[in-house]
Amino acid sequence: MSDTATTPRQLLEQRRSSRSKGRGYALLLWGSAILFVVVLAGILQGIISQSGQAWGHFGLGFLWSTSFNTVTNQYGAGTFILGTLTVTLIAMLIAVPIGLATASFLTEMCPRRIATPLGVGIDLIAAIPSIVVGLWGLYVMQPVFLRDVEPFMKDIPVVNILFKGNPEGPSLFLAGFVLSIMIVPTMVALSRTALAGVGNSDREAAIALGATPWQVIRKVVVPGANSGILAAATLALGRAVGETIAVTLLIGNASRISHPLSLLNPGATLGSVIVLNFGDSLPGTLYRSSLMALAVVLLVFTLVVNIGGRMMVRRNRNFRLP
Amino acid sequence: MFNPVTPEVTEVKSRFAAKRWIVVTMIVAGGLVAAACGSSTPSASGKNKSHKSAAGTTSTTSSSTTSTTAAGATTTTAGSTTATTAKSTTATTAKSTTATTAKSTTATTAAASGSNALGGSNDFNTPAAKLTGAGSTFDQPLFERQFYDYNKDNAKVSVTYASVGSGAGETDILGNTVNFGASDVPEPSATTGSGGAILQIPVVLGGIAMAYNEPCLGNHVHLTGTQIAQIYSGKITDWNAISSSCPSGSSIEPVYRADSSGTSNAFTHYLTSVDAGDWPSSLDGKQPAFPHGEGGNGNAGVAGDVQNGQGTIGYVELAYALQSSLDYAAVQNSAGAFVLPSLASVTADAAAFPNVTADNYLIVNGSGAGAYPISTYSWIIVYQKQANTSNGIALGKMLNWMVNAGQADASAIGYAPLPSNIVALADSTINQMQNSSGAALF
Amino acid sequence: MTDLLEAPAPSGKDASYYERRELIQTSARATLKRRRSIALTIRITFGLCMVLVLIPLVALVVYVTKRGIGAISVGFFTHIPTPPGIPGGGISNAIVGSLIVNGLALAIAIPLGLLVALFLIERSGPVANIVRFGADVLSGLPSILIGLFIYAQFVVRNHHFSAYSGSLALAVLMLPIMIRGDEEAMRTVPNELWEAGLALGARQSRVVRSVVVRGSIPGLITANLLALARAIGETAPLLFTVAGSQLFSTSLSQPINAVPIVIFQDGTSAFKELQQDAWGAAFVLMAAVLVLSIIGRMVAARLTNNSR
Repeated sequence: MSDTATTPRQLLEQRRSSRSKGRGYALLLWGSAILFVVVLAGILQGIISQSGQAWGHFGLGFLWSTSFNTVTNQYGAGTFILGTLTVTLIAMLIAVPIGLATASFLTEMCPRRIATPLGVGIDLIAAIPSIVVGLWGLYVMQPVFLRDVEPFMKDIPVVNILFKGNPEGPSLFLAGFVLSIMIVPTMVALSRTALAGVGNSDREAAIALGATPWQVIRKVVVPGANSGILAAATLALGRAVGETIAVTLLIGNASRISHPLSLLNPGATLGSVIVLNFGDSLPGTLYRSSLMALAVVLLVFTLVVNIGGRMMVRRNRNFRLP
Repeated sequence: MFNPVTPEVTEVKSRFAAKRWIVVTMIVAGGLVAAACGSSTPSASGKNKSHKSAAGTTSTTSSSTTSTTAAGATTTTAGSTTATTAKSTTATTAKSTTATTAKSTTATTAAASGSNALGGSNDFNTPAAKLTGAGSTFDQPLFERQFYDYNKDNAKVSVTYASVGSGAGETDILGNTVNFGASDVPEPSATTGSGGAILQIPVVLGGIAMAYNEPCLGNHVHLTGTQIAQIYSGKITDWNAISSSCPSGSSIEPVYRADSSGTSNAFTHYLTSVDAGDWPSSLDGKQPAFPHGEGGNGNAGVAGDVQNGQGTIGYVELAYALQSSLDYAAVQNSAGAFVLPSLASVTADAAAFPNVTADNYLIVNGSGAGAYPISTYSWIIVYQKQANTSNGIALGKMLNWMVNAGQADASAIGYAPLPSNIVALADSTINQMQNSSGAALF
Repeated sequence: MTDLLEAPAPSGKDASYYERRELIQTSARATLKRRRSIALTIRITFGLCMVLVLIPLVALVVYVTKRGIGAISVGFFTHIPTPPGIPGGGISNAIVGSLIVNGLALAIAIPLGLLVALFLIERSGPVANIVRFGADVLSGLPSILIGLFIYAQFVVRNHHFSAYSGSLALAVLMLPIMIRGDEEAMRTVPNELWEAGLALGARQSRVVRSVVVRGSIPGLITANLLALARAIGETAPLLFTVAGSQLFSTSLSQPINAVPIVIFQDGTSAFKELQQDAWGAAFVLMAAVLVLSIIGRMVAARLTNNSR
């Protein structure tokens, strides 16, 4: 290979010239990394800067003001924060226990021959775009909810405090439910990873002592996978908060808090109000700036949740993100 | 963890270690660049096109823009070079379509002689043009049909229309990023946009149907204005209070326009004028804060929400109700009769307002036994000074066709033809169009 | 009976060991029935949860297929949309538009993602941590915010919507998935191969090209395919950047139609023909996503098979 170079000096020359060619490669890597960071910073900064006018005008009261009126030019994030929290909470309450139970079933109680294809199937369906899920929710779930589910919820004794008023069609409840369908596969996949991360030796020791599969789960697996499950739930929450399009189709676009407070009311989330109203707003107006301020609130929510979740994941050695 | 420790890599590494401060400076500089980029807010004349710009964009088969054999028009010789710069395919073209044409030589050859006089409805001698428009969803079904039919007769002109709502359409034309805007609510006539003074031409007359989806009501339930106001304000929540053929417990779900809408403006103005107690004037506007119900996007979205819901009622242009096979109400007019929206009843309502101008445009609740009270005109907004002469000529002649021969499309799909006094107003307004140096185009 | 899993472990095989074993066996036998019935109940409950999860997912796929197949025809793929009431419309411009926008996005994101992943592998300093953190942040960002950013920077500045701004938005969306996937794929290449290549005197970039990238191609393909599968379904960023169009266009600097936009706009309208188009488009999109995901997983499975 180095036929032409014979003396050490010549070898060094040859090495040095290839080193300098190596520098171009290193620059390429550095350049792309910096480009990536710059783009990300630009996104964050761009959104934040356009919201300045609204923060200046309304101050921090913007966060809990529930007015949203283009005629009087009064805007506030309160309605939408409430909507986002409600829809997300419903989704998590449904998806986390069911997802965890399904994941436990798949890892502990199901023969691998069946569990693996089922798990793959769930993962595949998780990839279905949210616009398709939203459309299905609109055409299939909304009538079912309107006719059957929501009146049924009104008949349950204690729970029906939350379901006052008349079923109207699009509602916070419907949006939350369809959102839970969207995040359940995420929860199942991540929980499976978390549960699988618990070493087999612990399981086998418990079984050797005569434990039933449920006891194995309860006593050994879940405590061992605690942090992983928490991370899974946090990441699923992150997905729920960021989900915009499907929720927009199902939530009814009411930029107000309707009374009586009820899950059957239409509402709006941070994402849905931005999607629907952005085009009506002129750049440079308070309206546009307020919408960007809503985007900032959404940004903060997702950052907090996702960074928290990923930190939990990185700290947990057994956990590898699918 | 990969960590190659070789002389070569260490060498490169140490070189960069020494120059790490360069890297850090680059990052900081990059951040500052991003800050500089992000902090400049777009100018007010910058286009603000919403995502809805393609909601039902109409287009006709595009014609070749290089052929300019419009005989008898002295401006077209130079018009050929400029027509090719009109690359607009949707409502959101760069302002270059109008700006770069300022370089054209058409200005000098613009015949001020008026040899391009509006030849009436069958004058298809236009330069080639690709025109873009944006605005009212109220007009969209009629526009689609009209542009399609016009292109069949005059393949040189193709039009793309983005149905994004009156509010967005107005900001588009005022920002001069489309050739024309369409709105049910005209601007005050003294308004100017980035292209100068505007002309507003009435082109559509239609009725706003109260479409609903509740089988127990039958095909055409009778509604008074007060009942509609109370439904939308939440005072009436049960169809049983409207019609005894519905069982108690049939809840009403009103659907409104969540976006900025001229249709909302006409509708809420009607409610205020018949029942100011339940519907105060603070709720009269293009995007008022509806206190009750769910919001849909565009006339199409409202029609869709009514169709998909149960016990829903919404206000849509009649064509939408007809095309979606929705039932619609007979509304009580000022004479006390319950009237369905139709060609005759909308025309009767318009006849009660003979002196319509851009500053006096509302025609709700007209007098007359056969009038349908919730009707409105819709207006096309163009700049008086057309920067691109051939576009201006094509636009003017097309508008002329639309308000004359094109009205034949109206009754076929649920609009009313313009009354003759309004056609006269439209034609006289079109005649005021000028080229960029102020000479009359027609 | 206390739960014997909490009993302290025996330390040696003395007499107490045998006593304890006796104790364990008798108590296990006694509680067996109770524990078994609880276990069975739990098994059934969790199995029902599993079924509950599957039912809506399967129902979704079935419904979309049933409703969408009816719209599929040759004309569906070859015609552009027509106004409602005029038959013969299709989504050819949307399919071409999606291909163009996603193709350009891939062209931007694949090399950039690869380079950033290589950066993360080779450097481990604070900058690498920032980059990795940034990738985490970006992967959780709602796509609408990315769309708003691209809108402000590229659409408003240039006063028109365009296909390339949509590509930029999708590329930004794809990057974190690709970066993470590429990094993991290349980490599976054993250190010895890197060192062997460098020991032969090859430059770093040569080693990377010939050894590492070539060796991790299945993993790279999987990462890129999964990123693509995610990007083709995104609607919100496209609404603000390419805006949709009724015309057939292949120009990068003009608005262009895309399949998710068709689904969103036509699916929410009240016209039956448009709704049918939306379902056809939804079926096409769902099928494309599933095919890409399946291929990605098959490639990944072949990778793990090969490395065994």
